[in-house]
Amino acid sequence: MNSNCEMQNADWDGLALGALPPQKAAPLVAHLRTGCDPCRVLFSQSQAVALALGASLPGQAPGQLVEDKLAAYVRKASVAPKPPPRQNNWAPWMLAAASLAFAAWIGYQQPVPVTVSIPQKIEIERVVDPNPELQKRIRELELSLAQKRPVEIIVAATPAAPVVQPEPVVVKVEDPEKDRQLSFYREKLQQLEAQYQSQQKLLAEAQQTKDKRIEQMTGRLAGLEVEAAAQRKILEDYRNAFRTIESIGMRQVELASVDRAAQNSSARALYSKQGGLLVVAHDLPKLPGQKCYQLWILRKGSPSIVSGGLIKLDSQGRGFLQSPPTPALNDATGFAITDEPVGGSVVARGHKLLFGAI
Amino acid sequence: MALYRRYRLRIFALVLRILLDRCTAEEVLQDLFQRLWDHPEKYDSSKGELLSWLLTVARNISLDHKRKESRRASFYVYPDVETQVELASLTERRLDAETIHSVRQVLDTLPEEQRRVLELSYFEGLTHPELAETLGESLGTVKTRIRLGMQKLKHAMSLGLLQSK
Repeated sequence: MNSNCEMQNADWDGLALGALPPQKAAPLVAHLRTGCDPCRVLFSQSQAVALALGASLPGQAPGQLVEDKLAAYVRKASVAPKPPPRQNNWAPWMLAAASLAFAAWIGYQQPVPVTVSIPQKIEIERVVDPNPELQKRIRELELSLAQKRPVEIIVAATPAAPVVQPEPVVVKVEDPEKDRQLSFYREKLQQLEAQYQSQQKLLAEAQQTKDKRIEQMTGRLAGLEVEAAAQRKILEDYRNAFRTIESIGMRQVELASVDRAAQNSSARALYSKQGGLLVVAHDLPKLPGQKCYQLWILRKGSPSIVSGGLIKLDSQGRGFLQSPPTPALNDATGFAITDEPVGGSVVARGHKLLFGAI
Repeated sequence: MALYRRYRLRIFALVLRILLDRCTAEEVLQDLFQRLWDHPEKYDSSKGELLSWLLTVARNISLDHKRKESRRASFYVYPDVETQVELASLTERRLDAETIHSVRQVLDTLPEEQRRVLELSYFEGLTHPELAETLGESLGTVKTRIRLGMQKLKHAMSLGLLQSK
């Protein structure tokens, strides 16, 4: 399979719609006939759309006359089979003609019933006079034999009546054309059934593959969605932090350790009335599982201490907090970080670990 | 006759859309099914669906009829019906009701200019240069519109295929 075929960019849509002039369509058709798989797939997709366009029209009912005419045509075609190719086999006819001549001669000489057998199941009971009527019958015989029909003709005559009167001709038609068509359609039906079974099997396999693939893709999609949500959150935090840093009137406060438990940790708070609050801490000790770090804003107004939010901690002891503008920042006098139960406290009760005054 | 009863609505709709004349369309429809009756060997079931075969041959006969009637200067006969049937047999996708429904829905939502070029091309048998002349647009514009329209329809068919599974 040549996946780098240069013809992949050819106008397969145009070819499928029949919109290409002959000089442009011909090379594409020739290329498809070479069996180039990638191009055949591309064309197949375009062709499917073109066919669906043709099939997509709302159904229209033709007049009943069409069906009647077709039914009549089918009946007529069944009764009158197509003439077979001309054959140059004269031997049976010569034999038949000789037999008839002999029978006629016998009829003149001696009025004894004679039975003449000729090939192709033709039997002539008695022949008396080879008159024009008889010649006509011979021609009918020839025609019937040319059409390979088994024909039984009874010719009756007497010595007193040299002119043979027309007798009923019994024609047994086996209708080989109908048999041929029946046989053809039976064979087609068998082919279609086999094809259907094969397609069912392929469909079942494709269904299984598809289900498995969907399951894999669904799992992967869920993972990607979680990851994307986390990335979005980080991006949002960075945007907010940037907004705080670039805001007009931004102020900065350093927070230092005031408790032995805080070890060598430090923090910096950036805030402004429009930009909100951003706190970044370093070397914060790892807290027990049921504790977290919480920032407090100390202010002139009442209440004098309000929560500034929980500090998120990463594995390397870096803390981060970003919060939108709050009225408490307008008259803030300092910031403190305490350890509180997980989820934070309404009122500061933990150890004051870091503090910075404005 | 069972085949006729099964496919007559779809095929007649296509023929009528192309010829726009009920009487002529009925003649073409009759001719098509007589051909199928006389030469069933021309349809090879291993090479595609009967509906695809009928649509292809019906479109070909109808467009030929239309071209002869209109005496159009550019009498394109390529690809001929045998080639078209051969090309149609490359289509592996089944024309089931859901797929056709999807295509019909998307066709209705296509921008007017994209739908028009597709319809003129498929139902009127116009080639790229003829489309450009008829619409008074450049050849490039016509090709782009066809490409965009076809892209959307292919996408719809793919979705229809997934949903049908």
